[in-house]
Amino acid sequence: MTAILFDGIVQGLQLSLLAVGITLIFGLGGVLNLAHGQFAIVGGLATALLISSGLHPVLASVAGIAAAGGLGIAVDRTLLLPAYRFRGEERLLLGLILTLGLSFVIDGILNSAFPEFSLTMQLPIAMMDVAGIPMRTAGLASSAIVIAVFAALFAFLRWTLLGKTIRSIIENEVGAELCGIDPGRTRTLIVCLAAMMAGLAGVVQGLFSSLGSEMGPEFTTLALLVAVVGGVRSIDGTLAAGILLGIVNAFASHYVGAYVAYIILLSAAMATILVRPAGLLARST
Amino acid sequence: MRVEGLHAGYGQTPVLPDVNIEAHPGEAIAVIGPTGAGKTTLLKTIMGMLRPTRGRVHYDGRHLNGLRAFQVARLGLAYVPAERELFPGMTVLENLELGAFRCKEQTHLERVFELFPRLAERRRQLAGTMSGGEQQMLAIGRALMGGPKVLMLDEPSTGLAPKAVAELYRQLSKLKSAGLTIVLTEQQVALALSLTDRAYVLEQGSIRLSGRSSELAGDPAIRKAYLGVA
Repeated sequence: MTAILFDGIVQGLQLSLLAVGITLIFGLGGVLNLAHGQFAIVGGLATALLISSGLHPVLASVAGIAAAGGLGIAVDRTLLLPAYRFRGEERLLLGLILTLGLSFVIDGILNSAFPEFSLTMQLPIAMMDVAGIPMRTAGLASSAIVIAVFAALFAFLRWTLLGKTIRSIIENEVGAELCGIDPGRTRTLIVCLAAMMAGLAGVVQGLFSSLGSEMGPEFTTLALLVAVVGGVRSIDGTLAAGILLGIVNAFASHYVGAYVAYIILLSAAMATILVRPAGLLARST
Repeated sequence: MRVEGLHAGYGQTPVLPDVNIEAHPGEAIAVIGPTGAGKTTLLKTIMGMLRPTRGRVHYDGRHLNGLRAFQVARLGLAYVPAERELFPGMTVLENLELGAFRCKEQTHLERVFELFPRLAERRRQLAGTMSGGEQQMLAIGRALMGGPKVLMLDEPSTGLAPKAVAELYRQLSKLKSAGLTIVLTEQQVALALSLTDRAYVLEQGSIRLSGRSSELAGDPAIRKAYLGVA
């Protein structure tokens, strides 16, 4: 039981890390990024390529995450420009089509250029005892990384001027512009940051088990699910939703198998949305 | 600030066919007129939130055509829309800090707190949980944080209790005495005319009448149409 719960939390944290980028890009840019899972794969596979060329795994991970960030900036500054010319629903719809197309292109390139290619990283010590319970070191390490990243993200948003600027655009883009804040520049920064966090989620997947070149669509779907359950504009909601769905998924996979687990996962997501349509941690007004 | 032959509107519908107005440094002007006359459209077009189809906005020796709202704001034109456009989930202090986003001046916060002591008391409160009058004060305070040269207010009295309106106008008159240029649209015409030096009457997108506020307040047509005096 405890082992499954722990597994669920580890997976859930990783899902939150992936999904928080969707939340940030949607909150700030009004675009639901359907290529977000692919950002994670690009980051992870870039890391794997660098490791196989002889680079130290830690340095390779940093470079792979930076590559995902670079891809994010490129997408924001080129592909999404037509979408940013519109507002509201029109931007959302155009953004959906553009990022969906991007996800097909990235999947196609990765599947043809790197078929069967994957990122698998091994830690020197495989198991550790925590409070008498044997746990996988990779799970502990990846959870520690994700928790540290979330702590840094919360601190950044709460206490720095740039972080407050980001929150202000999420709250009210018109108000932010009236304060002299350039939403476009802040948006590029956020898309880069979101893509880097996706890249890290990809690396974490390689640490925890294995990240394959074909996993993009699955990652995007899971991340979207988590972001929607979390309320799609709330960062703490996304964190909570990731952990919740991670735990549901772990128990379902263990007791009924991976395919049925997806159905259970979707049912759990629908149930949460029905009970809390504005998001898991939404303030009641 | 000078607006010349401004033609603007939404989509294919022109709201302002041709408008000329002017505000000199240190002057307070009012734009009055019935609902739907184009007062908000005028301010939004000056601010760069709407693109004019013709005409120019001159400000401080340059024209503002083609600039976006955040660029206009950085030049020292502050706009307080009727919707206030605050950040409801952020504290009063955070809202004010964001108003000073481009400006390293520390004294502005003290001046805003001096003008609106209520904001100093409520600095940790979330903006969305305050009363209408307090939110209006916060919106003006946020606009002042960037140290603007011109303050544009769109119907600041709308939705406020009479007591809050009176307090607001006392504070605006302090700002005027301090030398700030003020452009104001208002439904409460008597109040607007008492605060400002000059006024424009905007009807169906055109300036029908303009002149000194004190003279307009005595004009029989204005008194009949806007001041409720037969």
